[in-house]
Amino acid sequence: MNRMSDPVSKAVNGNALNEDHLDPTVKLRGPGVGWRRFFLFGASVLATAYAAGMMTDVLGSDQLTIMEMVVIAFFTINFAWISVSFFTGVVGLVLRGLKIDAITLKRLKPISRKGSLRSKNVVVIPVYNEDPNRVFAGLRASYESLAATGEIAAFDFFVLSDTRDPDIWIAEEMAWAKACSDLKARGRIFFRRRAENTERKSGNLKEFCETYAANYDHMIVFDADSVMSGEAMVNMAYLMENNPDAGIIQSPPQPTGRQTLFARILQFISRVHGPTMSAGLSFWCMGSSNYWGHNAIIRVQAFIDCCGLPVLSGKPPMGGHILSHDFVEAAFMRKAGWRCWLIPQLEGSWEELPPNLIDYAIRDRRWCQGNMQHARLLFAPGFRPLSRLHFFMGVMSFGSSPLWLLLLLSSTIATLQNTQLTYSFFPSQFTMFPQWPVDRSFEMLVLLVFTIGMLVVPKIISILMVCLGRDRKKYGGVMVLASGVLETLYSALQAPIMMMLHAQFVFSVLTGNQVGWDAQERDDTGVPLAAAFKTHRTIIVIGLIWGAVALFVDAAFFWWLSPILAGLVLAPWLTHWSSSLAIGRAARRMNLFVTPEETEKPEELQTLARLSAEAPDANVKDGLLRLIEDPFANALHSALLPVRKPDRRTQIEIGIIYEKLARLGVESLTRDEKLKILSWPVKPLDQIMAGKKDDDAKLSDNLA
Amino acid sequence: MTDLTIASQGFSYAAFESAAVTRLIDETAHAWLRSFKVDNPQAHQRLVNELRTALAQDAVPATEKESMQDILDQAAHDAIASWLANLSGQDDCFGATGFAMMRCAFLSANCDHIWSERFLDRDHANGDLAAALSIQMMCPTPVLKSCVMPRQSLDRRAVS
Repeated sequence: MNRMSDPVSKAVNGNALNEDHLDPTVKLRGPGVGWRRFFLFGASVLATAYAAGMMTDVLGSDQLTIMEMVVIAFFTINFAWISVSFFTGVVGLVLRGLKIDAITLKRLKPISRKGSLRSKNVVVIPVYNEDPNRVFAGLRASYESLAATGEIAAFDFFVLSDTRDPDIWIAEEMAWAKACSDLKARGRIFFRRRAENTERKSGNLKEFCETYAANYDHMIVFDADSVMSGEAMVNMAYLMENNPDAGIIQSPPQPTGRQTLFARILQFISRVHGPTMSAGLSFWCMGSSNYWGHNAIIRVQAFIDCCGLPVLSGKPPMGGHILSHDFVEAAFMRKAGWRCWLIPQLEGSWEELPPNLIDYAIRDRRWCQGNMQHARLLFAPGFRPLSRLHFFMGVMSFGSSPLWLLLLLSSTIATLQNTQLTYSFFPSQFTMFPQWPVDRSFEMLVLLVFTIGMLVVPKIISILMVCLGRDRKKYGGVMVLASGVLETLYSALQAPIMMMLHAQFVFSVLTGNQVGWDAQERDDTGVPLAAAFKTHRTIIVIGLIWGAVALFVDAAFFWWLSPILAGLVLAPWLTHWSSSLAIGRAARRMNLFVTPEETEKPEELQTLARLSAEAPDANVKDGLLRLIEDPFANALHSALLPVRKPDRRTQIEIGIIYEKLARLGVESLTRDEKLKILSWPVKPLDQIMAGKKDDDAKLSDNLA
Repeated sequence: MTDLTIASQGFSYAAFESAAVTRLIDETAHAWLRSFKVDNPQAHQRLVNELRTALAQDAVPATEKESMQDILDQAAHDAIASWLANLSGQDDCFGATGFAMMRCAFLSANCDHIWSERFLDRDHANGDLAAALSIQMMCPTPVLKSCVMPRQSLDRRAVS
């Protein structure tokens, strides 16, 4: 592609005319991009080679069996995977410790803007059957924060509904009207519902791009549970304005707001260790960073021009529409020459986590399907090498689990084989001395410590940095150490469960099973013990059988495997107790797993909590009944319906449903029937039931 | 001979209005006022008058229409829409969306029933009501700017 005629060059050159308007202090550039990657991957390769050599030495002290070779192969792949993560963490720790900007490698300083925003931006919130109270509470918290910056004129908000539940649909409309009215934001907060929700979230955004997006320069994409501070949003828009070759700028969202023990543990470690990993990633990815699907700002025209997703050949789950669209959109941006940045120091960006392990696994099942699809894009022509690496990392984030499982299983088989071997002190050929068995237990221990160290050292140092830092009070003071120890124990027990679940998901996807599209659970819901047992029954059985075999093979090997076996067998209790809201709150009282968002709650999260408390879930009631009873809801719904005419068949169907409604009442209609009559404009619905309400009787009295 | 055919032949409509039709007109007016949350007797009478006038002027025999109720509903819709169009100066009050939008604005403005007695009042200068409606007008979407988002191919470089 001719560099001067590509869309990025055009945009940059267009802006170059106004080069003096660009603020050089926020220019996203940094030295030694190649060297950074050379260091990271070089160090990873060296560490992997060393570990693989040591493993070969340990297992091959006598003679290598075929199964031992398999073990070495799986070990090498898995070690390479964790060593990239380890060195990313090491770099992140250095950058954090020295307070150096991961991109410019200069002293880290806050973004200071020179002048007001010149661009027009939109915050888009794609929703699908989400709790409207939570969605609009997040929107209002972000809107109010933005208004406080004085830059609200540069932003609109747009709720893009794909909701298929009639009750939630009507509640969304009412919540939108209330938000417009309360915030005096008519003409600034918009709402539209898609009639057909093809291609899920990416289709929702595509439809927006083809209708209203061209009104804006940049769009900030939210998830249904996202909240961002006004400062963060304005800074992102400012960075976009001053970096005309930037296609996507991603902020690192911090998980917050959940109270169950499970969520609190994850929130804590994400807050403590997340910035380390973000800084490390940003250091070596530079302008080839990834897009995580939300809490990011996107250049609208670039997105429209080059991010229309292809449809993969074949059937789902590996073919069809692309599910995990974010990685692919970033790859297409890079393919067209736009840069994608991760800015670790962008604070004021929040999201929420699933409240328990089962909901977390449900989300992972969805992501697994999406990420495994990316395997088909790994070798597609035109993508940049780092985009392919992001695809690979996405695949490996789930694919590594079956590899670990295979490593452990092959180790068990190899150990079983070794116990069957009889050692020969005097081999067939002549030797001066007997061949003594070689004891490699020390090397084995070193290898174990080395591997575990790669997994946990960056995290432990992050915890120590927080503990020794000035901000430790925000994390619960000295209790941050106890939180760190408990988190390490918990994650060690949870890891085998996730390994089994992920292995199951990968197998399920590869054998052609696909997952549906459900809204994520966003309340602090617990998991009853019986439900946890039901979910994990296979895992428990596998754990027990595996433990028995290991004990039968070699008691030492059993103890070697015991941390993994413990996680598997204890899975239901771990899931049940970690989902407890009471234990989560008790942990908070004990200053365990505390995050700065709790000790010094930002204004936006305070607003979110207040609005969520004001608007209970009960606001989502029967949508059709609401339209019949409340003329405003009725008028609003009619006003928001797209102008279209039903075909003859649909007209007849609607007529039949109306007849049923008039004769048997709202309760007689199914969800699909309600959805159908709500989807088409008709004469005011409330007239159908005229005279059946109390206020109607009052009205009659007045008229009389 | 139905009431309507009598009306279409030039007789005085009111003289021939049956009790059933009176009741139907009343109920229709009642339902439409309820959909605007208006509970004012004068407004009710104005709508009843509009409906009677519409029936009297209707030249089409009732047998050619689907039902008397449809005629009345259409008449009520048209009467209110033309009043709202006059009031707001907007021409698109007759379409489903425009009408619903105006209904929303009226319901918001009239939440404490201060405008109920002005409903359908064509004699009063309604500048203040028009201003109240314009403040309450909802705007669900901005200006439509259609474009095509081309599907990328996995076989070649990105479209430039």
